[in-house]
Amino acid sequence: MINPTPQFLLIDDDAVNNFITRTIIKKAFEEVDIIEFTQPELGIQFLKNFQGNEPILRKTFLLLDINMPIMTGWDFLEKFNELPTKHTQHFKIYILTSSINPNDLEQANQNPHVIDLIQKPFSKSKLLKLMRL
Amino acid sequence: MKIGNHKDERITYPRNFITGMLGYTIPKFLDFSIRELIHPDDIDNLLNKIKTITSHPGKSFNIQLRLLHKNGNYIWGGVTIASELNQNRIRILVLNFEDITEKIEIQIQSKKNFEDLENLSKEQAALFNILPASIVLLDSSGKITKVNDEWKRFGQQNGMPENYSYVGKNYIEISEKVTKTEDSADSNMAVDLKKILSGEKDFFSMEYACDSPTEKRWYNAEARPLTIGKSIGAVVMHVDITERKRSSLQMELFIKNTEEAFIFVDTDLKIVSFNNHFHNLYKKYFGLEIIKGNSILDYALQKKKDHLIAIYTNVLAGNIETAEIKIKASKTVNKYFSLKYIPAKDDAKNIVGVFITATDVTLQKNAELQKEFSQRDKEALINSTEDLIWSIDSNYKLIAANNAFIKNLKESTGQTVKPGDNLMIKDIFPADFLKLWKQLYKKALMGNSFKHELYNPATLLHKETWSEIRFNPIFKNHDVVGVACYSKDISEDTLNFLSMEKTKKELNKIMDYSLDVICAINEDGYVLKISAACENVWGYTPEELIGKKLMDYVHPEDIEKTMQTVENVMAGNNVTNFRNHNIHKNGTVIPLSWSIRWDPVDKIRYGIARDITESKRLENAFEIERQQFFDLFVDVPTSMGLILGPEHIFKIANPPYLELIGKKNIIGKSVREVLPEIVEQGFIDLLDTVYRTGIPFTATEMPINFRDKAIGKLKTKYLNFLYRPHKTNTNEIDGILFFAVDVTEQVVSRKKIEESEKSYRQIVETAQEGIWVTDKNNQTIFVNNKLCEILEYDREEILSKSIFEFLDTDGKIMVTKLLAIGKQEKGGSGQRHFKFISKTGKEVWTNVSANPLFDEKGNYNGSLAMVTDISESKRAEKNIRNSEERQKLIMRSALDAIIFIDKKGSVLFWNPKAENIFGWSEAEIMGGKLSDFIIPSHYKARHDMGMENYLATGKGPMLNKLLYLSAIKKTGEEFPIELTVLPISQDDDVFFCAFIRDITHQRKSELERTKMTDELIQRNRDLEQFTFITSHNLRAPAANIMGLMNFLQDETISAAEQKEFIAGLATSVNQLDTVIKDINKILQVKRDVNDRKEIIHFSKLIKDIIISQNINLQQVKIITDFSEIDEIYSLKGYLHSIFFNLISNSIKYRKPDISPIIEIKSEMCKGKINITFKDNGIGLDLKNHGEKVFGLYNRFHSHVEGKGMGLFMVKTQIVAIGGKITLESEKDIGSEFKLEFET
Repeated sequence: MINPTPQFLLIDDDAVNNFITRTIIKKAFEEVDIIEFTQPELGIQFLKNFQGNEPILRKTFLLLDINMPIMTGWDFLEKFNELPTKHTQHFKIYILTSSINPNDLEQANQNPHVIDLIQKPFSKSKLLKLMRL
Repeated sequence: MKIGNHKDERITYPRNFITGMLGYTIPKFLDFSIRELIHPDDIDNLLNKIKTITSHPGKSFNIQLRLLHKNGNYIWGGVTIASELNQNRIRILVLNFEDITEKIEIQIQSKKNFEDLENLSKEQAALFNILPASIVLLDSSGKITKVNDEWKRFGQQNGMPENYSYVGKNYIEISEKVTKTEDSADSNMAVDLKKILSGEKDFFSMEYACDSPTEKRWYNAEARPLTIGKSIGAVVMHVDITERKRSSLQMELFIKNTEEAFIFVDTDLKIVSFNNHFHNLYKKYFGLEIIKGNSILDYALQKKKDHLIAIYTNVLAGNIETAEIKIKASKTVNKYFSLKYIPAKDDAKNIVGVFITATDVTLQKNAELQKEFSQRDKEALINSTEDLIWSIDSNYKLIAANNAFIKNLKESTGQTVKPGDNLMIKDIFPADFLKLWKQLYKKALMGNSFKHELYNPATLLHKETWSEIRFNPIFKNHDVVGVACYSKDISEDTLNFLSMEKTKKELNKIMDYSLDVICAINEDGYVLKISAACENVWGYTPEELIGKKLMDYVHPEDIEKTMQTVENVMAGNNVTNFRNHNIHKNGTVIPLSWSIRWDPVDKIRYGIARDITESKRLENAFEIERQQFFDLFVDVPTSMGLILGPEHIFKIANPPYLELIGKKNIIGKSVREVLPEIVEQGFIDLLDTVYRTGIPFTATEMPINFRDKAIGKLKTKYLNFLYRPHKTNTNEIDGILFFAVDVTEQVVSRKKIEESEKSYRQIVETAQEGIWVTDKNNQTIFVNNKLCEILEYDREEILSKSIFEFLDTDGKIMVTKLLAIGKQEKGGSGQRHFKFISKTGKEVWTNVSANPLFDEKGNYNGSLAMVTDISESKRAEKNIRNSEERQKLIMRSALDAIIFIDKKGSVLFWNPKAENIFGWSEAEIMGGKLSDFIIPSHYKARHDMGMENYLATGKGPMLNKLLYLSAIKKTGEEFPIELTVLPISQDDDVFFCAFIRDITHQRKSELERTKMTDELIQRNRDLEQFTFITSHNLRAPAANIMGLMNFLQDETISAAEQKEFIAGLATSVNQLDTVIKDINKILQVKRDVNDRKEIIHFSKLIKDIIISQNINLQQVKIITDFSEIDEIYSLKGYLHSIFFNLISNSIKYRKPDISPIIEIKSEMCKGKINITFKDNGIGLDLKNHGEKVFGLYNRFHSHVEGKGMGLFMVKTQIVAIGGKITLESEKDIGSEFKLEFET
């Protein structure tokens, strides 16, 4: 049975940004599941623990920041790549960053897991665009 | 605890230790009398002590007694009792207690162990006591704790009192004492017992003899450890084995004394034992010494071995074998032995060897032979012997005779006799011979049976002989009817005997003539025989000494040593040169040197003693003197010797002489014989003259031709020699002493010098060069003809004139200079061109090669110049040289180094620029190998190979090309060069020309340029990165603000949400502000560098930081070491910031459970200041974060507050003041920052 409730995973060390993103998503759906991590290493841990927790494995939008201490968004993607495909296949990954470094855009384009790079701040129109894609 | 001195001994004061020990409180305790607290059995003891103390104030005791605990149990206590001090009358006693329950328990346990043993022994006393062995139990110190009845009985038998108490005596000590007085058996007992008690051994046994007063006894002693509780004791058991021992000794005695010879071999046929009889048998008949452990087969004849092996194999299989052997005891006597081989079995009937008995059966055998003899044809047997057998009747007529008799008679007389012939043949035998025989026959005919020994003197036909003749009367019915005779030739035995007698006599003679004492001494030390020389040595005649103990005449101090030597000799070791002192009859001490040997068969010691008093000294002196003379004679470098008689016979000649003439073995030969070649040279005549006239003859450097054996030709030697008449005691000339010194070498070399001098003079005079010799004042002392020619002067005109008179002005100056140098430097010489002025005023160009002359002391003594006229060549040369010079000049002034080398790599040309570049001067390098000077070792092989290759193939890929290589300066410095090498062929020869340019500077500026570019690129990248980072950090809060603003504008929001949005806005705005401030701070760094620098002390800096940051040194340990350097000239603000950031970093990232330790140390290293910050914090995995540590806004720990600015600032500031920073860190171990600053 497919759970129709959309699911979002937010990974960003910036609490304010998470607040903004969360609020926008909440307001857009009647019912939505949002999981939030300010430490990406905890996010990876969470994904690893998916095993045997199948109901949670469904289509999920992952909004990932790049500039984070200890583990950057790129580091996160490397770890993510090591996870089994039957887990990763459910994730639609978007980079959500304030970076204007062209290197980051380049890197995002080259990463097979990343669908697109979204400039902060997140907004309703950006969410709609993301849902359509 | 104190008690009053009342009858009831009430307690007046207890310490709480004692009350606690007994389970009471103090007030309760004061009610007790001491009696109530003590075990009833101990009270008397305590009261006694108290009594003593009260009557003897000042006395104190230490006793052990049982105290009653409140719970009714007794506790062992150690008590010290004393009277209270400072009391006139003793009223109070003080008892100090200690709890010794445990101590006492151990004692009791140990005692109980012994008691258990006691009890056990009691139960088994009967058994213990009826054992036939003497048993003693010992404690760990060796003291006797128990003995059994048998022990006591044994003691009584050996004279111990009936009720003697053995217990408590130390058995080991007794054993040791016994040893000192008796034999050594007990010493082992003591030693081994100690080992058992110390645990080193756990069993030993020994057999020993211990005779009771009435009989001979043997015992076997055994000891084993006996563990009693924790201590080790021992049990020793003595068993009477007299019976067994006695029977085995009897057996031994029996074996030794039996007529049978025994030998016992084991299964490997190795000899195990044998009796004396067997030993003697072998020794007597085979001359072999039977030795235990050898194989019995070693004593068998080779051809018999297989046979014997078969016998032994059979016997070892359990069968008995017998054999009979015949031994030739002497020429005529045979011995027969019956051998029996019996398998030897042990108790279990296993065969363990072979027991062989040999019984002398000669008598039986002879009897058997006799029987055989009668059974056979008597005649044949009689005839088969060489002994003479015959019989005569009462009329001397032959009855019968064997062939040997008839043959013998015929040989001696020529007569053939036959039975019936009268043997008293008058014409044949001499009258006295017949008379003798008649007497002998008559004696036998009278009924006597006897032996007669007959001597037959030598005749022409035979040698002297001895025979033994037996005469036996032949009885017939009790009447004598004839005589049977048996004659045996005993010549050989007799001769042997006689010669032995003779030898014996001679020996005696030798003994008596000998200056050495020869003596025979029996086993017990008594003199059996001693030679007459003893009278000289001891002052006693042989008669006085025979039967005496020679030891009685040995000096008391030497007796022990002599006894030892005697023992050693009797053990079979021959002794030579054993020295001792003896006492002469007149009381003087005589040192003797002995040679002694022991004859084990006859049990006699033979000794030869020599008085070494006088002889020793004389002998030494003589020997030394003789040696000195001999050494002198042999070692003297002069040939010498003596010839005797008119024939000049060599009597003595020393090695140098033999060497001189090249002959050996000349003594006893005449001079003529030894050196025939000198006869013609007149030397024999010379010798004759000296011999005749007695006038000595001396010669100096006399040439003599000796025949050289090696080349077979005459060789001349020059000798200085002296012939001197040798005179006898009666002053008659009997020979000639000669002394000769070989001076050939000197003469020959002098002759050579004379020769060469002569030829030199010739050379000088005919030389094509002028020769000019001056003295130390430059006056001419010699010139040759050529020089005269060159200068157009006569010799006389030049001689004794100064050399300066012939030189032009320039020449005078030059020569003055050269002479000044030449005088100082020995061997200094030079070649220069001078102009002389000839007699006719001509300028003469000369090439002068001059050498200073020195006398033997090394002082300047003049000079020798070789002068060549080069006027002609000089002119011709000039033209050629001009063009050559020009070229050289060009090359010399070239701006590149120009070097020529030949094909061997040797330097031919080296221009000043080369000198300048490489540092080697032309003089240093000319002729040297180029590769040894300027080519770096890593190019040498290539250089050599390239040359070789070119010379071999004509191909040189490196030639004619511009090459960039490196070279070595004289200083060893390697530097880059630009090089072109050209090969140049000239007159079939090849050399190489190299043009070299030092491109160090070009290289350096190139490198600098590259470095600068690299740095610029890096800076640019850094800046770009900085821009992105700052933009991100600026954009993040800005984006948040934008996001929040959208909400506030577009959405309908609740009041709660609004509050949240505003809080988010505030956070973002603050973030924005912080980032802007950070950027400002960073940009500030660039400007600050131009601020004023000052001297900053590290120690003070640290102190300031601690105070300003309020660091609690109780919680943070900061260890500093600025002993090497404590100051730097720099920007104070930066240094403060750097130090502060690093310290706070260490505190921030400390381990949660360990208080942080920060070690800061400064060092000088290669002109730079190194500072290290080392902490014991959580550290960092540099593998993953290495490059990012010093980056802006990079953070590695989420649990600690931080924005990733500290280390970025540190790095930025350090770089700004021209320093460096590196980090070494390990996760969970700690971090170490290393800072490097310019001074």
